[in-house]
Amino acid sequence: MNNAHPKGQISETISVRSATRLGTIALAAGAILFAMPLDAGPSQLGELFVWWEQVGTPQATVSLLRASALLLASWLFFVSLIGAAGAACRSATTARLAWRLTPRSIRRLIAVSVVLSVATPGLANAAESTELPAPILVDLGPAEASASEDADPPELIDLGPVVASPRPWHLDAIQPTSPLPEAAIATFLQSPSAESETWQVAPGDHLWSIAEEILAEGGASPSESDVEHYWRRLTDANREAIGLNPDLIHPGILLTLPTTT
Amino acid sequence: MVHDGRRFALGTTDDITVLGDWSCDGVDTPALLRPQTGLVALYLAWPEAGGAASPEHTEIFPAATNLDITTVDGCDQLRVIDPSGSALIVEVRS
Repeated sequence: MNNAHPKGQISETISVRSATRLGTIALAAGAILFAMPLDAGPSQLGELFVWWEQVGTPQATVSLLRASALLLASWLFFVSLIGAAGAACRSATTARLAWRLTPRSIRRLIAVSVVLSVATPGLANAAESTELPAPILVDLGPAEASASEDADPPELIDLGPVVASPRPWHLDAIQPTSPLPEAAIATFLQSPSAESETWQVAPGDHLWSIAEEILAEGGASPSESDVEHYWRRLTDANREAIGLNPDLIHPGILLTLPTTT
Repeated sequence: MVHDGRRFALGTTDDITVLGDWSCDGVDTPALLRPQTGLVALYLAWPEAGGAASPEHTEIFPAATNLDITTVDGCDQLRVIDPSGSALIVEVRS
């Protein structure tokens, strides 16, 4: 009987303990409420399946888990808050009601839900990362609008009729300024390039006119297909000297002339 | 560049130009790539004597490095090449 306590002291002990526990639960549930942002879901129940297909099963499962956990945490928060207030006011009935409304099984369920909803995003992301990336179609606006970023689209300008320019420079017109060593002369003569002529590009020159003039040296006026054929050979033989654009050659470039046969 | 006995100027020295029959009318016309901006300009006709012509079709390919031509059913198609060697075909909408 020495351990016996007056009835009022027992009630007070229960009230303080209940207030502490319920307050702790209310704080934890409130913290969960604020810490867990709710994922964007379907605005209407009828859109649930469309939303599910859009976000994919893993993400949709995580979102639903989070929503469930938040719902339970909200309910626990308000019930615990009321119970804690009742316990603080020494209202044993309110505190017992709160405990009955939040039995241990419910609290465990909430704990499991919270743990799962926190842990599953990582699992969902891992599941998503194993899928092949789907091509995304992105609208970048009309092509004409984006092209306008180049403020000055180039114009094609007529420069007038083609005027044949005289051949300004030939290999056979060069006279060595000093005699070459015999070994060098032998090597030079054996080289295939020794048999091919060269052409130094002058201002106004272009590959087509050069091709025309080279072919015309034979006497007859070359046909357009002959000129085109020679123009291609001329271009191929001078890839490095010409660069990427055979329509733009610069004065001073030395072109190797393919044979006309 | 030269066409039908006349000389034409197009773009700058850094531009890449090719000639092709883009509209299947039997006449080769120029296309241009400006690598600095990725601008691809396509011309379907030559200008009148002493005149100038603006491109009928322009598009931006930021990674384009070169132009190429492929022939399908007698018509030329302009292909834009990127650094990896992949090609995109520029379609001409008439």
